Amino acid sequence: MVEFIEVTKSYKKRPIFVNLSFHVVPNRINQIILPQSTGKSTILKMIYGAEKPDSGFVRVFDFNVTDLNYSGILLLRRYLGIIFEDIRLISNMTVKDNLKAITKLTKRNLYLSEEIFDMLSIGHLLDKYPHELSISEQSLINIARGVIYNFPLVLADEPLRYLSLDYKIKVIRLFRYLNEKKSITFLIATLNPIDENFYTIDLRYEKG
Amino acid sequence: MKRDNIKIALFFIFVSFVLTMSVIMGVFLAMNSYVQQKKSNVPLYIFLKTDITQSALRDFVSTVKQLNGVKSVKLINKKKALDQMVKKFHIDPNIFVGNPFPDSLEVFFYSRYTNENYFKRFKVDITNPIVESVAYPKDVLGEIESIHSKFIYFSEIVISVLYFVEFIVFLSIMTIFYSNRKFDYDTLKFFGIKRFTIFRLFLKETIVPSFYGFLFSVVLIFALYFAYGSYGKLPFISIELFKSVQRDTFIVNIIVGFGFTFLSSVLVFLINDEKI
Repeated sequence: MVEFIEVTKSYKKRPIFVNLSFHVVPNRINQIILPQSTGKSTILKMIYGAEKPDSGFVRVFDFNVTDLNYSGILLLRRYLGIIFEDIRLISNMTVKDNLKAITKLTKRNLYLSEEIFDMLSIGHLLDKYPHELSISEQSLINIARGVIYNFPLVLADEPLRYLSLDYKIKVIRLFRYLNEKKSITFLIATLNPIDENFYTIDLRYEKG
Repeated sequence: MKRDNIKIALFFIFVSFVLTMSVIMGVFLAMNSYVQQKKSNVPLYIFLKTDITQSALRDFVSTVKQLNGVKSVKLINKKKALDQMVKKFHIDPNIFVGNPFPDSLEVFFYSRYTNENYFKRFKVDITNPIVESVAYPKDVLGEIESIHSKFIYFSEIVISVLYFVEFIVFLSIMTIFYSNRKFDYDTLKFFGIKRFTIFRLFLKETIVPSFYGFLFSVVLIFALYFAYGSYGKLPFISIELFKSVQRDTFIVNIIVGFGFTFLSSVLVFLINDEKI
């Protein structure tokens, strides 16, 4: 589903990874555990084509992302659920519009898992704008937006960062439910292990 | 909903553009009309021979009236000419043995025909045997023509500079607008939304405040008509003249305003948007 083969990536001539290799186990909740500022977000960005590796291959759904042109990357992104570390809700849209923006703007009639509203207790927030929500509520909407379409692969960049313990438990329960009932594969980048039942990816690389 | 200050700024920029340009252009056009009116008051004189019949004179007058560019023709007979001179210069009429003046015509032309070249050509083309001579006040005509062309040149320069400056203002506000939305647009790209769709979204966001600006301008322009009709007294510019030119300039500047909005949106998007 996702495979990194000898990927090298550097920022401003400072190498982050040299010959990074790993693969994501399909139909599992995978977690990448790395310390602060060591390239967690960069790994996820390389999967959805927002960053390009200096060398090596990033394979997603049997496509080599580095070979795709921009239209191909946009097409690939339409089959990925993304939960951003910096939340990234559209500021001038209501929560409902944020959740439906993908179907509306891509003119796809996608199925929305509305049971997620109950599981995350966000039904009462649907008509609000992002600036009217607390940071943890915004984070929940960000998570809901990433999983609501039942895309086969969900990339989550520190999804629990802004959540209280109660909410963390709800979100982990939701991830498990979607993984078990709908066979959605998760790739979560995190500072600390989230759950002992999640598959921890063994990253093989040379330090820059 | 959160107040969107960028949209409010664009709304006011559109309104101020339409009103400023309409009023300035309206004043220039009204002044131009006034100068043209003065210009077409400069006559060309046709002096006739002394031995012509009344029917030949009538035929000639009607022929001249039909000539290209002629606005009106005024017949001044020899008696009237003598009376006018005697009255103007307080001369004793008995010093003249007979009437030394010929019958003559004062021919007035439309403004764009009131120029030295046309008058020269007209003079050559008048070949009727009853015509003794043709004359016109060269100095006055030259001076008024020169003032008119300088005025047109000046107003074209001023209007062009103002349009240029306004376009820069539109470009600046669109750049701020795009920067304000860039984070959201980039997020949409991460969900696979095409750049063209995002461009349409951006265009819609910029056109809508301009449209509200247009509606608000209509209200303001009617208020301006009313105020000028009641209290306006610009020198040389009558209310009727002001209103007639103001309507045209208002329509032109609404169209230009939407054009600037569209063009600056396209330019800003093309320059700033990235394949992220």
